[in-house]
Amino acid sequence: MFKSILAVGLVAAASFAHADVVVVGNPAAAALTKDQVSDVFLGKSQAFTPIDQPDSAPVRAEFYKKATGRDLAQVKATWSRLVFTGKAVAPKEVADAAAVKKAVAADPKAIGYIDKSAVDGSVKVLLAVE
Amino acid sequence: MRCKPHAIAIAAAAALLSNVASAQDAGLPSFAFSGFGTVGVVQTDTDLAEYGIAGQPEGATKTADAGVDSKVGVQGTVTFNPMFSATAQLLSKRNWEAKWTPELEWGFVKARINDTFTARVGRMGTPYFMVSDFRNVGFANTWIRPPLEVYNQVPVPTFDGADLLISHAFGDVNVNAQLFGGSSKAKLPGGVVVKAKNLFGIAVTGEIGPLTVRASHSQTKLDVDSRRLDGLLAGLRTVGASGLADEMSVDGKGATFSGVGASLDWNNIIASIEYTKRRTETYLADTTGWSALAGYRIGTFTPYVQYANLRQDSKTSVGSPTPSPALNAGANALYADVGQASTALGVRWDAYKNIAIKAQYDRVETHNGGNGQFINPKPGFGADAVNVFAVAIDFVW
Repeated sequence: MFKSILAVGLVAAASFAHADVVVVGNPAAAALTKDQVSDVFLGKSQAFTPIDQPDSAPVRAEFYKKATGRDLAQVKATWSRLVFTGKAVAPKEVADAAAVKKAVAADPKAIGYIDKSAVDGSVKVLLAVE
Repeated sequence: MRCKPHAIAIAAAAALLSNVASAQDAGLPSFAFSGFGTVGVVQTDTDLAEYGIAGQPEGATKTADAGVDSKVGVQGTVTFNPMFSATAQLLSKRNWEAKWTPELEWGFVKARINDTFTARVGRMGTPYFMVSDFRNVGFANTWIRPPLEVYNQVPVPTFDGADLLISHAFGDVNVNAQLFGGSSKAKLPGGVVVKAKNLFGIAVTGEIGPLTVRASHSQTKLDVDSRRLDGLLAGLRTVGASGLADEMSVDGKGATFSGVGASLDWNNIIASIEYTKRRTETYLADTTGWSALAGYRIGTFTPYVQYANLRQDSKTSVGSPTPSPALNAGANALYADVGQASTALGVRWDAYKNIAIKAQYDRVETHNGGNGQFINPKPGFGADAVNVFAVAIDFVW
């Protein structure tokens, strides 16, 4: 009994720590490479419009670490170089995964990241971030 | 030709209108507001001269000074449609008369023509240096302040005019080029006004993964409004030293500024190097300034070391060209060696997602016993190295 509770707990903890993050876009959009996604979310490319989740959402840190190799403070420093030189406007931030899906479903140029479990028919997975 | 402005206006209006439909979809026009700032304190171990940034009339001594590094900026951007936006940034920092009057640092209208070309018109930062665009944003940089040995060479940070940004990817290399032209003006301590007319230049960066390389060159015609300079030159001419007066005068003479640099942000390693040259045909010194920084990220802490050197390439004295000791002293003061070198040790701590706390120690040695970049030097200064201590809190919102 105790062992199985422990096992379930470990599995749950493991799946939480390795939550799969996916990049989603409009159903009409084509798949993207990790480099393309990284460039968009670090402001190097303006080919797509990035949609961010709040700082408090664990998926945000997870996404940036995996897609760009940078932690949130480094990402903030990178964007402040672009924002305060008028080169770019920081990504639009929306409340949660549902709001990300709504934003990318409405705009063919918008891309966002959500937990894989939140994917539904309104969006298309453009990249699995590992 | 007469109808040309008309045609441009119509084309612009058509572009505006054609963007309206898609603009409504994306929730435009939109407004973004953000800001940045630094609260910093500097102290040195000498009272014989003051440590500050070019353009400031006073600085730190044995008495701690919060005016060298502290600043606050606010910025607003209105995005009218996917093509047109307007940005304004107000910056308040210790200025030429030791006041904190907010100045318009950026104020431009931007047209994103396509993914490759962007044009801007208005007031913009002049891209003389690797980080000239965001030198005031402490949070975006590892150090507390840009190395004076490089960045003090051009105390005229912005220009009024236009630029064209060209962005293109060649395989894995992202290339950005900026062509700019216009004029600029800056007030310096003592009511001196420096003007750069017919300013033209280019800056090109290439990004290959974690490595960024950069080269820039600009040229201009300089003017300096200074009663002291005018008085000195008139004096030299009255005593027959017209040759020297002509050599010293500024009056629209040419000047160039060139630089190359590279920066690396690879895993936990941060490194950058920058090498620059200033050339003028006036009393203003020809100089070479370079700096190198290396840091290593350990969690939220980034310890770093930096070395910077400013060398005066032109003569540091004119001897005694006239029988008047006062005129000779006046001329020699303007040719005095501005060179210095500093070695810095520091640490940046990313205390919070938008707050960095830094501490930095600089050991500054002026070249040949001169005054280097120090402000208000007193007799006896220059013999010993100066130790400079600073702490700063940088934030963005």
